[in-house]
Amino acid sequence: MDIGQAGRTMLKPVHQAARMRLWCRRGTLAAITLAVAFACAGCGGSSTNQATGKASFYTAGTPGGTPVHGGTLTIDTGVVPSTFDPFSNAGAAQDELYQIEEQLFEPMPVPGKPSQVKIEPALASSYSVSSNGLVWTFHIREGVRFSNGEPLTGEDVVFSLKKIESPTDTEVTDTKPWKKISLVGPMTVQLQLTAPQNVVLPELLALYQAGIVPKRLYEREGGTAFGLHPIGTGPFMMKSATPGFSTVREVRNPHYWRGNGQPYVNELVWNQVESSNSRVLAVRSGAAQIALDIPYSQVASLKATPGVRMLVAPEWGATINVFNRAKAPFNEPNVTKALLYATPREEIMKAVYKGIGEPANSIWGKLGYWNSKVPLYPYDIAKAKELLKHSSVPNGFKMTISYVSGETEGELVSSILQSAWAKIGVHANIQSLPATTLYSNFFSGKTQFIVFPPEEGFSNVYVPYFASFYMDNTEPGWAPPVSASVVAKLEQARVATSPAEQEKLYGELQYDTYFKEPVAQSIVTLASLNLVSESLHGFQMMPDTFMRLEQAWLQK
Amino acid sequence: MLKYVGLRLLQAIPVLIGITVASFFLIHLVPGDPARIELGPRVPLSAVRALDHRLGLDRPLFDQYLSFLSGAVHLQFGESLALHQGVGGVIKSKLGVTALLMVYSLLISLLLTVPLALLAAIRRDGLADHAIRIVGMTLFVMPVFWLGLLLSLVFGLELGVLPTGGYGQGVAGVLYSLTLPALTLALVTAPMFVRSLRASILQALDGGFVEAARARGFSERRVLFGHCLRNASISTVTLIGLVMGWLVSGTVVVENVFALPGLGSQLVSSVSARDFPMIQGLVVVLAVAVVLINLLTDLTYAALDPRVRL
Repeated sequence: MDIGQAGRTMLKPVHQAARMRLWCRRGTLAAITLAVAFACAGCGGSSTNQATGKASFYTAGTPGGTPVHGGTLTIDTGVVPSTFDPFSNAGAAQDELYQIEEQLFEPMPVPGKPSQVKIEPALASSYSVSSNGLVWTFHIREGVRFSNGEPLTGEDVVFSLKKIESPTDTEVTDTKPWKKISLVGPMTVQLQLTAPQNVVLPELLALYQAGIVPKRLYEREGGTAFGLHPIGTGPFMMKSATPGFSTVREVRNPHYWRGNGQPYVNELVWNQVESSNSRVLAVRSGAAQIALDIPYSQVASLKATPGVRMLVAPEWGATINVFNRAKAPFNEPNVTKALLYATPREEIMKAVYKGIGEPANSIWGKLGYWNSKVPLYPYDIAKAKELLKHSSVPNGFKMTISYVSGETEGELVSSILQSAWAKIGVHANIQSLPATTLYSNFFSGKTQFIVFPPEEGFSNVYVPYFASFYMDNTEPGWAPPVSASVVAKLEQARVATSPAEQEKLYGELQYDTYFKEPVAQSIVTLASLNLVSESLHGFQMMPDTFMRLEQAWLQK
Repeated sequence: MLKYVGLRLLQAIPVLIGITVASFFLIHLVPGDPARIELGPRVPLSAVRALDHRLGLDRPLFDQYLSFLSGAVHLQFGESLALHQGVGGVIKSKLGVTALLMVYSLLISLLLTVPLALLAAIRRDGLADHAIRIVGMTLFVMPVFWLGLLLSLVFGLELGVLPTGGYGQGVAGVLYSLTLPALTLALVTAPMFVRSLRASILQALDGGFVEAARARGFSERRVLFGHCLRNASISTVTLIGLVMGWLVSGTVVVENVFALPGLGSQLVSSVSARDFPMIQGLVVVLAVAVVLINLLTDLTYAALDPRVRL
């Protein structure tokens, strides 16, 4: 058994206590990144495009061909959701819920193909923006029906968008982009913004959380009941779920609007299989066709295994390890920088992440305003010692490195850092804790340095949100705000209307938070590691972990 | 006997209460607020407190415990904080999986134990005896999860005769899917039973009654199965009763490896989620199971040995 997986899913997270939402935005926020095309099709500077990175360790999706209709696609995943209510906070915190849920619900735009940094129209067929950028008008697609046969109306859209304002912990409420939502025609919805948000708004609306639900049904049943029997416009609809959602079955939505025979498979079966070894065995034996979240350590051997395909795709975000900058001596930039200079990144990338991914020069990954010019911290012990000499702890100090128990990568990174930092006089004690306990300690300021699991990497789809979290956290149990000038720059970036201006400002913020006033340590960009059967075609894992399963089909 | 059973059940009540008290207060000592887990890290403290209040988590611990106890008496364990479903319904759906797994593994274990123990005893210090004990020891020291994966690899992947995981449908499907998990547990418990039964058989074989049985011309088969085995099994029955308690934790690992939707995996996920109602419900159910198993063990003594008076 992969104890790491068991440990990780304990939060979960993954049911298992949901992962803290800060870390679990891969899919949802990833969708946002692509908003460039929807908002400004002309944008395409290299720094805003999704970089696919080196081709040597990334592999393409499964082959295409002429789709075959029918069959059951079984997907083994480590963590399952606790509700299918798209507006539930608990549900919103879980990527796995997102992956299952995105087959049931659709937002107005959806993420496009991975080769394109754009989103595509979905339930909204088009939109227009007023000249001052404050009024957005969306035209809802005609003829769309929910899986129960009810027609999609503008009222459903207004209701759903208003619902996502309600939870207190969403990107929407954090940014508070609109002050009014109104129905100006039967199928026309208007958003009046508080400030121009050319890039942010389409991204927000592509969130799975912004999935459109039938208003009357949701109001009649309430969120809890609706979450057990969800109805949406997605390619699939819920057929059944075992108590605890350890197995969820979704079948073709007969009213799915895209046509073209999609979805091709008749049924999706999601199984909770906590052990990654068991997930691999299931695909190899033919019991499942997709095994999500394969450990880095197994990638090389699985690539050489006949009968299966090991898909390694770039994933938005980067690994993130966090200092408690509210505690001495981590409140001193010289100390955190010294530790960063003393980090053997290449060794960690090779030993822990098996050479998969690219060196990260940003705490929020390599996409959306990514600035390639921000330098990496070189491994420089002399420099590290020099910085430490000009701090309050010139002779070093003792500290604790914490990681989630059972996390193999966390354990290895912690060990490497322990021996590396000892060279500059920083003696670390390694502490392994269950995820829930660790996060609880983290947010109450009891930790010093945490090595988070790779899945918990910072997903940069919505840069303003994460920039905000790190820079003006109002409950700083672990991180006081950065300098006033940096916070002011963030505010400026949020309301900038020109893509070029946003790119400039966020690029500078990337430098500020990574190099100038480092708020965390980031080592490598993330990768999505999934094992699939050779019988699976038309499948591709997108950088946001979004899966367009309506396009997948099984070779008989 | 009915009086004995009734008395034992009455004695179990304070035991169960003690277990619930201990588990309730212990889980509350572990860091982690279910409301914070539910709402995520960025909600203001006021929202967390509001949810705590709605869920009754801000009440004094003793009040919370009494509420739980009054519900438990009526078999009402409340709603799961993580799943938003009735605790009773979730437990009911998963109880069968774990119970069946435990019983199935015990049956396989006994099917292996009796012939192997007999062979080892009859061929004492012979090749068979040594082989059985060595293989048994090897299996006993193997981690359960590793053994499970190994069996899954061999029988599931290489030979393709059994599924690598999951829970089947229908009677045949269920038994088919539980065979490997049950075999995994059986291969870890059987060595203990074999050693115990072998020693007891050897002791019994030296007994006067065996000599007398042989002197009366009974066949060796009748001597072994009709006289010796029954007498030798009492100590093994004791061991079975103890091991069944261990099996409850063993199923946690096996359910994880083979992706079975049982109580063990639910307990683990509930602890992580600080899902207090679910944890309490599971603890009660598992404690009752252990009590009943111990009672059954005692009743089996009486059935095996007429000298035992209940």
